[in-house]
Amino acid sequence: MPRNYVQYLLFCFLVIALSCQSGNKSQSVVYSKPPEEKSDTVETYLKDGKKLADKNYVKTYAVRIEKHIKKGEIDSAARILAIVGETYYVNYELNQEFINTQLQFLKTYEKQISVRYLSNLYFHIGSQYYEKGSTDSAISFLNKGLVEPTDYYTTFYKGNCLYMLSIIYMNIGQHDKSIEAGLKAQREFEMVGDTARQADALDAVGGMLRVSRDYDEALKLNSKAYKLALLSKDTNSIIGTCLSRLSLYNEMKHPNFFAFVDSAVVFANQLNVSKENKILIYSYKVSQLSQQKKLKEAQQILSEYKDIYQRTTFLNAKEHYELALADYEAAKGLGSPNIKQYESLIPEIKKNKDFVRLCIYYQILKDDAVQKKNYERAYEYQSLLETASDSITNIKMRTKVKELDRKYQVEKKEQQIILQQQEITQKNTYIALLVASLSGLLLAVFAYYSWQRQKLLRQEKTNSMNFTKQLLENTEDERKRIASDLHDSISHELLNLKSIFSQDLSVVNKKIDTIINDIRGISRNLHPVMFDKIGLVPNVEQLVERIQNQNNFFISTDMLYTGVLTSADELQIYRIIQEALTNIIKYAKAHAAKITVLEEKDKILIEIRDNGKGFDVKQALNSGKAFGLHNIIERSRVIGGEANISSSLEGTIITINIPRKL
Amino acid sequence: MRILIADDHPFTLMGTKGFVESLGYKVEDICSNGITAYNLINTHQPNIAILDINMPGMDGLEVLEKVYRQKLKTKVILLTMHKEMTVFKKANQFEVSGYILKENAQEDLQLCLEAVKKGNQYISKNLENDLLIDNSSENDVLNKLTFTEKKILELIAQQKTSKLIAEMLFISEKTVEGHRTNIINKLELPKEKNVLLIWASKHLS
Repeated sequence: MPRNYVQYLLFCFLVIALSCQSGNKSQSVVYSKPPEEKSDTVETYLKDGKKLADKNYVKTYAVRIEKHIKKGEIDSAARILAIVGETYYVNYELNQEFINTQLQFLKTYEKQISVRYLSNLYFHIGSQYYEKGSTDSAISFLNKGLVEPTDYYTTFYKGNCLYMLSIIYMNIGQHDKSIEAGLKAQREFEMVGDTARQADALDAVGGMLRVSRDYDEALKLNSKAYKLALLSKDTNSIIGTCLSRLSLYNEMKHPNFFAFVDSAVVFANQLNVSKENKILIYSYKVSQLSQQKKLKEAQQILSEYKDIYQRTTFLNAKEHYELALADYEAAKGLGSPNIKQYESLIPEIKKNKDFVRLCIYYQILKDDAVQKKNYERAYEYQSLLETASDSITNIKMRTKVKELDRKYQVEKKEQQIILQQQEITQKNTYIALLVASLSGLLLAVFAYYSWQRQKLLRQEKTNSMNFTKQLLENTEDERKRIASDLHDSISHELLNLKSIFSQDLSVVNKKIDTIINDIRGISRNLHPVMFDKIGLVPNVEQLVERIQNQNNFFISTDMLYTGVLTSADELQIYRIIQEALTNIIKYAKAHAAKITVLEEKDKILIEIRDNGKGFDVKQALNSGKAFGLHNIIERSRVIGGEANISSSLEGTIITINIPRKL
Repeated sequence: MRILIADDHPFTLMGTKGFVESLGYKVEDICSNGITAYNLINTHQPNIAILDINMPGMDGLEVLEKVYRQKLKTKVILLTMHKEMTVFKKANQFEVSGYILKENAQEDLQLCLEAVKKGNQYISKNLENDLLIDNSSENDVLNKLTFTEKKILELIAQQKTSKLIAEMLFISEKTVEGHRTNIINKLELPKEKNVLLIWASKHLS
């Protein structure tokens, strides 16, 4: 039984160890995405982008947040804000009221919000500010969102903040920062296994390289991002990388530009693409059509999207539409009717250091001037355009971009190595722990066993000491008995004989007979007469007969034994039977006893059973008395056998098995 | 008639020799140990060998066994102190011709020699007495029964069935039934139903 127990324990340890290790199977993903949290009806409503136009949308979340705050559930309130923020972000909606709500909430409860929601909130505020065009505020909030990642959510939103920063830095011409943020964002997204966002981040870096006019590298990165986007099957990422490819091809004057515009349009129609993204793609289509002088079709598209253009708050979409419109108008040979508007916007854009947008606007204005044959103006815009463009890029910067990229590649590798090393140490720790606990277990088992054995040995020692003591005492008793027998009967009888010697011969004769009988009795008590000559079975029969007659106690026998043991061994068996019968008569209160001596193939079987009242064997053996029982056990051992004593209320069975020597 | 006598005790040996010769027999060989006795029996093939059991080298029983196994013509008389039935039973296995006790040798030896000369077996009367139980004070009829039979009768008187008796005494039911028949026969009871139970209840309880 103890062995089974040990095996069971070992099995448990193995299972635990294995389950610990199987936790981190995929190598780069550190925090895998937890299952979607359940949301109630209100939350489901808030998640629905179509409901943003609903009048009650703002009221709904405001009430809900207030309710949570009242109950002191700050995190739940933060969760609602996160849901709403995500809805706004995904649908490119801008809402000043929501920004205010978030700012108010942050101001009051910043220290009580858990990190998970904090990075989320900062990201959404930052992105809203960015959509609004307030770059400085956006950067400040997004930087606050760069918390130390502890789980999936913090890592994911840190990546989002970095991604957004990358885009903003790109727009304001801080290339090194943009690339740094973009690559960092990609790493964060890799940690949570989000290929779509990885694609977005790489795409942003690619965009940066495009602006730096490093088209080859930009195309490489864009291809990589495009592949990741396709892998993720995320519509937004696919369209995003597509758009990057389009603007890249457009800028490069790539021969595949027209072809790719067409496939992007097909893409946009096939996939469930948002209207803002559609504007972007169709803007390129308009540019393409304008360049191809297919003005009717271009105009058709422009009028189709005019409505959306006017309603959208998404600046990028507006710009692209405007650019396409400018292209169309230029192709048509008309001056842009919106030129005044562009001119008026320039100071604001300058203030925000959005050089990319500035370039686009200057381009439009220049094209318009050329169109109107106002060459002086056109030259002016050209030089302004060049300055703006130079703000985005310079040669120094370009080398720096590559340098940074390389630096991050190395850093990435180093980080991977560190991660692997951590994994190895973790595994080693597990192994060490396993080995330690196993050896601890073994030690405990060993200690337990030795303790038990010690106990058993101690008990055996006491028992054997008791036995020896009693054996010596019994020997002494035996001597005393023989001495008194000799003294009481023989000596007295002889004295008697001496005194009557002169009398009648027949009296003397009778006296001598008595003395002879006495001696015979004494010697028979000491040792069965001629035991070795007569053998075990007749001696046992004699013993049984004598006991039956002396004690009026019935004993049946079943003996099939031819004499394979030595005479000395047989004598031990005889003594065992004698001892057992004495015990039965003394204590058992039995009706009868049965003696069995059987010769089997591989052993000699001796059994003495009675139908008496029985006794507690263990207690009797350890009581320090029970010399008879110990006598039986010791004698069995002497002849190479093993005694087994079992007792119940039905009686006692003593079994001795002596293996036959072959 | 040629006789061999073997005894390790010289006084007994000479005494026995004198006594046998006084009866008119011729003592051919005497010796004081079993091995010599056996060799002499083998070479001289006496008619009768009177052997003590306790002897050095080879004891009387062993000599007897060899004579028996080799189917020698010599008849063996054991003259011994051993009164135990076990010893006699062993000797009887080897077809001993005479078994007499030293304590009664004076009366027994002459009778024994005569019996053996005629080809009969002679066993000392005192030997058989050893196992008889002295309970003559009780019911005389019961003395005809063996110990087992008495025990069974006792249990019958306690209204125990044969099956129960068999279980209590660790014997088979058939054996019990056999004993019942024997008891009825020995007590000369009529062969009626429950006759034993009625008799036992009347006489034992």
